[in-house]
Amino acid sequence: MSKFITFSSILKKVVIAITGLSLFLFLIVHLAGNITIFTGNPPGQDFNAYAHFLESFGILFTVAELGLLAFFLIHISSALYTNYENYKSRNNRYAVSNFAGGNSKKTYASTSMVITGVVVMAFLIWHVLQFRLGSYYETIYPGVNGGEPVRDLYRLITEEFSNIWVVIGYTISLLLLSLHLGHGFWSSFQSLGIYGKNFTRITYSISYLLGTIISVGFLIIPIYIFFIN
Amino acid sequence: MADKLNLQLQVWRQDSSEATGEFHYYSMKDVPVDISFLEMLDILNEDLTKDGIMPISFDSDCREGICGTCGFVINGIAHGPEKKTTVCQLHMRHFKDGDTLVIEPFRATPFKIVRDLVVDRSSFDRIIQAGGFISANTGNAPDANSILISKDQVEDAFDSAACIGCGACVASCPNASGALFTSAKISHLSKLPQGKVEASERVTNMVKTMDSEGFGSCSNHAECEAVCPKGISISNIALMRKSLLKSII
Repeated sequence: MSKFITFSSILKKVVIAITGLSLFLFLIVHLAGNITIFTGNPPGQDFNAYAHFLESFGILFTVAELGLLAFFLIHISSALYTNYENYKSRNNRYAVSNFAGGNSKKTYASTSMVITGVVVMAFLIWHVLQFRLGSYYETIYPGVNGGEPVRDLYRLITEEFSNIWVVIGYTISLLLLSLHLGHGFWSSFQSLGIYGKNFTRITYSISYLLGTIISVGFLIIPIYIFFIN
Repeated sequence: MADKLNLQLQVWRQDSSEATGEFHYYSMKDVPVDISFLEMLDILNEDLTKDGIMPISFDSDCREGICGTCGFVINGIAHGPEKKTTVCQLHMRHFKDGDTLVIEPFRATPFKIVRDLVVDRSSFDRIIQAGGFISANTGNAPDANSILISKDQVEDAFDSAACIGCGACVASCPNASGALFTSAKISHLSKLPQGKVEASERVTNMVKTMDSEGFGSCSNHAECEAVCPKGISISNIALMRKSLLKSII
């Protein structure tokens, strides 16, 4: 039985679905936190205060970060392995492939999950190196951290997003993310065995919309910063 | 609409499972629109035979769309462009004069090509042998109303039981997954009281066999539902997953 649990195609998809949905929730929280970029006087105070608030959790914050990393690694490794197995399941390829239409939910987004996933993974590595592990500037706000210096992430953001190539890179990556989320959201419920005539119809019909809203939400930031500079 | 069609056919020819296959090109003139796709191939085969060429091998039996024997891929769609239709019930009136039709066998590692368009679907039989039955000896047919089942439940189980096992779901799946077939066979039993007793073992054993036969995993493209001649819903796949999770927990 234990061997079966490890190798069952269905359980691998369950793992991908649970980690995927969790990462989806993380994106929503991340996006909500990013709204502080647009508020605060002087600009950036709210955002830096929010970043400092998260870091002030100390060890708990590190645990959360490592947990997030683990979710990403599990999601990516299970998906890549499943994709490799799926590739082996068809040893001779079709000369012509097509879309049947009708009730089919096969789209360019659904068939390119591994490609959009790998691009998003590369983007994530870049994104973390750029900001989480990027230049460490400090600033002082009266009333934040008792007047002691806090990390000035806002300055790093304005510097990075003043480069047109960075903005273009973010735009491409985030648009591909919207496709990934578009198939991933509704599909996660189906992978978990949660099906209902209306439930599935509704989750499918809002899935691509949610993916687009999240991506565009993130995308506004580099574009906004680029144009105010 | 023209009564006769001129078609260009591009057909996959392969002598045996070990041989390397390739496309052969045939021109068909004056194909009547009222004949079925298989009858069109019959005409082609007669011409090929007269010319001393080996006719194209393809599977067929009832030619009424109920046995699940026929099936191949036309222009990238299993069983061709018509919804809820097997190739034997697909008529030439659905094509246009001058069309080029690319005809390929159902391609999947667990479906070995036997010859031309004929594939070996015995992997499906082994999935059934792993649990697609009720093992209790129930004796003679019971009285009609001795086990009360609601009309909705019966219809639901029958919708799953409508699967004819043709393999179009596997053929159309980008991952060559056998999930729709396996789940339909699991569901039609587990939706009825007689099948509930062994539901847990059934789902475990059938999924285990499905995986070991080399089918891919389902990525929810639902292309299978769209090409299925019986319109089997992907709700069966969700039910299979739920049952498997339930059997583990």
